[in-house]
Amino acid sequence: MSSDRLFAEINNAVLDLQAAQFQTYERPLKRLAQLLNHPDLQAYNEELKKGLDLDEFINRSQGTGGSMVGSSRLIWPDDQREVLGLQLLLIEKLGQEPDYAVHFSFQFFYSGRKVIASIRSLTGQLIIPFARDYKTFVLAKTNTQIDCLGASNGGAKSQTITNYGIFVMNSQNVSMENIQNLVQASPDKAIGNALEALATAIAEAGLPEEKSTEMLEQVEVLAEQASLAPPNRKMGIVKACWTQLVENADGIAKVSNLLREHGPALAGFFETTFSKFGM
Amino acid sequence: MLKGFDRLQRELEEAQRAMDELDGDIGVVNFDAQDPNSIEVAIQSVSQMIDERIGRYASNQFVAPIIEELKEKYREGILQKAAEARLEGEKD
Repeated sequence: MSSDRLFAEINNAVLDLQAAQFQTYERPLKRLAQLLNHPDLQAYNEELKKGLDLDEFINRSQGTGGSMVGSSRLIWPDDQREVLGLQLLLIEKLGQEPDYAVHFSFQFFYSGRKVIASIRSLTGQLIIPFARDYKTFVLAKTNTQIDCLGASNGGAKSQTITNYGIFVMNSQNVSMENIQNLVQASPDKAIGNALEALATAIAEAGLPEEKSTEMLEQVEVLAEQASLAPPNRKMGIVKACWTQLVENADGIAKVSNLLREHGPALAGFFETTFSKFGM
Repeated sequence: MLKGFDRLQRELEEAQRAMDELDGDIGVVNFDAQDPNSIEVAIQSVSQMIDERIGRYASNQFVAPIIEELKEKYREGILQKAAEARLEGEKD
């Protein structure tokens, strides 16, 4: 196996572990340990593990803990090669004994009562940095010529920078800001712009507040859907609905224009209707 | 009894304040979907954003579970977004 391919697979195992739940963490952990044990890596592994005693390291670290759960800390050596070697030995052990991973992470990476939280902490603080440093170590030894991008991401084809907007709607209050946030996240700019224009037109149409809020809530629901990535499946009703939504930017723009032109008349209609029926 | 009720009322008021502070834009994170380290940094950044916004209410019995739920929700969101970006990358 080429080193690019091997490190890409190691990267995939780490990504799977990062996203794993309590029921699923064992498989990527075992896979990672298997990949690290690949014959192509034997010579580097032997160099890293030389003279190290994992049990002694763990026993010494266990001595740091008090009576409180999760108060133990790992006593890493100063030598970076030894750190990498101990981490490698540890991951091998965790891969062979996934149940021990629970105990170990609870002891040294305690992150609340949920077991998976400690496994995630172990993954984030130990396994992910290890995978990065291990690759750097091996590639430095092999002097493999790869681009600096490959060095950071496991030999993937290209870097994929992804934006993720965090906004919280904790009440039923609909706001233009929420809608704007949602449409900005939309992968389809045409539908995003059309929905934003529609929301503006509704807000400025002078409609009774209740009606305006109701309509904006509906736009918000559409904006939420449009902000999601297209469904992965090529066929199916969900994909068809999503496609229908994003292909209707022109239709939505026409509704916005109508609202702008006839907003005052519409507002009058709603006011009359509301007062007539006591709404 | 009254003391307990007062406390409950105070906690509810505090929870309402926390929810008001949480409403709206929290922030944006950027990450490389192929890089576990970059994804981890993004997850930690979101966690910090939430703590900065309402972390001071963490001892409130109503707010504490919401903090955890939000962190979990956005963690899942980042991982999902990263997985989608990787799939898109494979298609290209």
